[in-house]
Amino acid sequence: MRFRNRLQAWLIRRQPESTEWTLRQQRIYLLPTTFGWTLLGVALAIWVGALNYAVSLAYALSFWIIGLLLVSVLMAYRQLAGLTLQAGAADPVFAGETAHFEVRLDNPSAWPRTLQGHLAGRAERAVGCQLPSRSSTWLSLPMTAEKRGLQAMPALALSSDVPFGLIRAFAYVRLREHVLVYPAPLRDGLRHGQGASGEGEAVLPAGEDEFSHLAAYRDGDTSRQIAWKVLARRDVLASKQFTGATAAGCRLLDWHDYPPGQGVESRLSWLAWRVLECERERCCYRLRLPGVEVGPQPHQRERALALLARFGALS
Amino acid sequence: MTGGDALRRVLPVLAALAVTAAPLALHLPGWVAALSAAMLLARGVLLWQQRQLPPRWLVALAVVVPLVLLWLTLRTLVGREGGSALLLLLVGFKAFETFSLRDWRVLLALGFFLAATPLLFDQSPLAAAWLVQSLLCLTWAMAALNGRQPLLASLRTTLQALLFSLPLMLVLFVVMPRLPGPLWGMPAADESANSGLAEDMAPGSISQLILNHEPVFTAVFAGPPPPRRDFYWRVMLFDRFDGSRWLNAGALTEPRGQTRGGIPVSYTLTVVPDKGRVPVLDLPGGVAEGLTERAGMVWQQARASDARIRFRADSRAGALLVEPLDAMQHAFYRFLPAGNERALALAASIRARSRDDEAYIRAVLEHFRLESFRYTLSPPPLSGAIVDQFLFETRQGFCEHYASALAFLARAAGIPSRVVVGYQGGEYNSAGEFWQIRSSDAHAWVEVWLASRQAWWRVDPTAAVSPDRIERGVEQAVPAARTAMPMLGGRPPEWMLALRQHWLAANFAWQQWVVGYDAGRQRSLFRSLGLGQEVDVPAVLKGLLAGAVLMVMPFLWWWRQQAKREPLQQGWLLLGRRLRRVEVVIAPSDTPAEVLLRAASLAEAEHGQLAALLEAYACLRYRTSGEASPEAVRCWLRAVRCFRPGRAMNGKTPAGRG
Amino acid sequence: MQSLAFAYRQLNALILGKNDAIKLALACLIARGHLLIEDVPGVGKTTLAHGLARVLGLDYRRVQFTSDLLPADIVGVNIFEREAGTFHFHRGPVFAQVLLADEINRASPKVQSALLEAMEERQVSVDGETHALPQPFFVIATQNPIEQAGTFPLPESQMDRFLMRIALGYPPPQAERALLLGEERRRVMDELVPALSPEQLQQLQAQASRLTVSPALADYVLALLQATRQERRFAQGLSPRAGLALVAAARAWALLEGRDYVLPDDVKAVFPAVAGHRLAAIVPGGDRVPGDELAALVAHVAIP
Repeated sequence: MRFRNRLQAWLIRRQPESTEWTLRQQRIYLLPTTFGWTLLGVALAIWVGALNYAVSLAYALSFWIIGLLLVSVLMAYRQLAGLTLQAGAADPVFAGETAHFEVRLDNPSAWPRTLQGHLAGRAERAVGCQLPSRSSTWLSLPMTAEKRGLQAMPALALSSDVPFGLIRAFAYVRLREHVLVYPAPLRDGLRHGQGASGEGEAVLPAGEDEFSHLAAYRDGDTSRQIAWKVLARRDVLASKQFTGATAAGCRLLDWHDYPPGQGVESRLSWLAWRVLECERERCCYRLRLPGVEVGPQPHQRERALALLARFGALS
Repeated sequence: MTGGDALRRVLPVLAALAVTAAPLALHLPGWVAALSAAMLLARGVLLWQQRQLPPRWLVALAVVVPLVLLWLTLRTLVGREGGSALLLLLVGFKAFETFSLRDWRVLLALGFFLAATPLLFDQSPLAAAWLVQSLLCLTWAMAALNGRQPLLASLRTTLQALLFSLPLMLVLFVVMPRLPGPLWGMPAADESANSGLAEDMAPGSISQLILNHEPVFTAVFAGPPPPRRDFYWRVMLFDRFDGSRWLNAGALTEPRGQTRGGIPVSYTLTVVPDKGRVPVLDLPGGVAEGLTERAGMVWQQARASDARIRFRADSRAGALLVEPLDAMQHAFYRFLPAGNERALALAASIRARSRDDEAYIRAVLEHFRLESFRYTLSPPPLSGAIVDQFLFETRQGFCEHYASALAFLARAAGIPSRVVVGYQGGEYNSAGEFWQIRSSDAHAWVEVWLASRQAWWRVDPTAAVSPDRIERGVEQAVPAARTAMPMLGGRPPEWMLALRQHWLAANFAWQQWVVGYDAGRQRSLFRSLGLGQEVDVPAVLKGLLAGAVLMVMPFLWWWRQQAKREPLQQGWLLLGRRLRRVEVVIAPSDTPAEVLLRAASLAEAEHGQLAALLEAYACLRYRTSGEASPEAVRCWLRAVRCFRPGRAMNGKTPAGRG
Repeated sequence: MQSLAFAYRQLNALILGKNDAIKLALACLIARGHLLIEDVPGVGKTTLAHGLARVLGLDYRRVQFTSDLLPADIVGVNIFEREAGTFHFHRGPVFAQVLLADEINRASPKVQSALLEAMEERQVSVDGETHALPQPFFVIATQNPIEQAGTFPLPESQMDRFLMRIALGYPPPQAERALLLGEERRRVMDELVPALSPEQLQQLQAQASRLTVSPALADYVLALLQATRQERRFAQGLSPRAGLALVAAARAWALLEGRDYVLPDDVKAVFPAVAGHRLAAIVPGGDRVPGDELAALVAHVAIP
């Protein structure tokens, strides 16, 4: 087992990284499965019996089984040969969740393929897929995201033991693909009880910022209302957006909200939770980290979380 | 492995095992086959109903009972029968402790082993056909067990795989060296085949065989065959008479005979030795490899086996067996037990009017012919003084009666004599150009020792009574033998005979080339193929190398089959390859116009040609609402083949469009 | 054909450096489809629509869509005529051969759906009475994708009433320079002469629909559709109707190219315009531009 892992690591190291690969013979490996070895043993036993008892047909049977093994080598090889892989994008996840790396498989050949893929060195289950002739499909490979940050996709192991399970063809491919792992949101322990009400948070006074972006949040408003109340659009927005909500200003989620003794990861997790809270309540917020700030803008959630995820790696 | 999917994957395994084991039912004790079938069926039912398997310890306990029973039935758990029965039972019980995919695979691997066991009993073409079927089922089950394809698709794959491995199998079959003898002790042939000759000769022992039409051996003559009257195949020698039957006492242990005269004939025999005994044409010369000569020029295998063997032999048809006898041997061959007084008296009377030994024998034969002796398959039973009874009361007999009587009368007159049992005659198969000798050709005759020649002289008393038997075969001589033949009534119709001949010929070829492909045959094949004088490593390697070509051919065909596209597509790909040579790389998503853009680096003339080709392609492919005309496509394809960018273009301009 | 080329030349002179967009607009017209132009103001949307109408000799109406517009303002209304004592149908601006619906996303959904229905049916029903729209009937709608305040985005299901969606974009620097130096656009517009009669246009439309589509091309279109359906970034792929639209647009493009059969190049040329709005609506928020996605998609589909 240890030898196998080392072999695997060596095989993976040999591969360069790319966003696109076509499997050719130099990266496809073929090995008999346990079943394959067993059947080879059976064939040899029959052969020895045939030698001893001079049973001609038993020779034939033995050799036919050996032939079958050789042919299945070829058939297994054909399951992978010529296959084109291409890295897709993985949607960001929170640490502790399962990220899915998308890999596009193209079968340019006239024969169908059956294979399965898994991420080398990971415990996640292999994902099987079937590719009819001249078709393509997406393989979604799950990986439990453990750490925040930009995580590279581990090497992809593709394998197939079709049709008989005697021979396993496998290939390791390193695809250049990453997944952004946001910090796992942690309920803000320090400010428990105050969190959503915004009492303890810094609320930016109205009018201090330009609010042109906020227009995007006004789905369903009639243009008549805008036309008549351009000057007072703040109030209108509030009344439409936060019906009954107390918050009128913009919350500030600041790195320095926490005492200096707190660790980086905890801060990030708390901030992530607060970003989500704000998103859930659909209220305006600004995220301020040392040196950077994300204000209200399209895709603010993604940007804010990405900032948290990449914190430390960027600067 | 549970649920419907498991059922779909696992039931084929059980079915394949059942198919594989089926022929064993013919050869093993009935209860073994029945028990195993029941086990497989029960396992299937359990699967179907998705019920729990019995605990392992129970299965382990339950297997003891049939094993003990098997021991009691066969007295062995190894060897041909014991081993097969044991394996079959194990497969049945193993099915009851299969849980994981791994277990099922082990079971399936056992199934492949099981497929080999019926071959120990039977290697006929039918058995081979069943073997192919078993292999197909097992392989299909293997694909089904892997479970990544629908059943029908996996059948297709299975057939494909078996077909492609067939040439591999054939090459290995021919080339892999065979051993001249077994690796370890062979299990003795436990029971005598019903077609074999008996250990002794009593009245009726041969006439039983006549009704049996089983083929015993085949002979192929290198030159013209000897005349039919010399078709005597020696198998056994009986030299002692105990009053009721003739036995082989084996007094003469050293073969010292020599042949004199006769027509030399060379031939090849294919035979399953009967307790090591093989037939040989009267009278053989030097002994063939792997065989030894026993006293009286009968041949025996050096190590008895019941595998079919083939050997070449040289004989001299109609020769004399010269063998001086010393006084003790002389006396041995004249020994008679007490009894049969009337026969002794008859011998004395004939002796009295005979000039010499030879005349005496002729007189006895004359006696058989003139007195109303009848040649029949169903003579009245004899008991007590059997020679007297036969000579003076029943006067009906088959060859063994006459042989026995003549040998007795010769001894009674003081002439050394012995009975030879073997086969006489044979049926020529014109389709296969070989002679088929059957059980019904079994025969007994006599050899008397003539002091004047110091040699044994073959005398066939049956010829005196029924010359037809010798000249035309038993079917003509004995009507009963005819009716007892498988065909009903008289002579079967011509077409049926022809069919039978062809079947026999096929069977003969099968025996010759498949079942009988042994070390000797392999060596001669290697020699005729020019691979080497002996089956040694270089020769085998050469053979494998030559065979590799044969093996690769179907793959090439397969690959081509896959690669075979419509000509337009083919030409398009070819164009792509040609362009790649001059470092113009085309993506699959490129249209003709885009290809032209990519090929901007080409020389002007070539660029122009390419443009014409591409335009023609676009027209052929996209200007039609159906298929493009084949001639135009071919014309275009030719043009593409002529298009070789990067080469000096010396006036060789391709015809632009089709 | 020559008249078509003439029309194309005139339009190119009118709107500088936008050959492809103009060609797409023409193709859209020939394929009997409606056009959606999505761009910021001032890049020449109105000029293009007006110019198209002029060179094709079609009558042209323009409606500025606002939130207080009513369906009747578009379609028309039955008015009681006292003298005749009957209702008389007063035709709305929709009864034009070329209708420019400016800033369509500013109108209320009711107005939008009235227009879209008219586009689809090529007729309008008022008070149970059906009135056929003129032939040819061509709607050019514009919308501003940036400013979305107080707008009603067109519902996804109705996006495919438009055969194509194009963006004009800023002119290339050379063209813009020429624009600044050249004559006033209004003068150029006035100088445009009709190159085609409406009958000729209809003939061209019929001609386009008869162009040869080979099985291989159909396979290609199928492969493209299949690719959009397999592509995980689109919540759903192109519909069979989109496939038909693609073929129709490709035929029109091939006609403009002067061919009597359709090449994959034609499909590639029209694909972003035809597929963009049908797919773009369902792209989940990402930084990538749908145009790039489509180009990548096309680049991965092999030509059969």
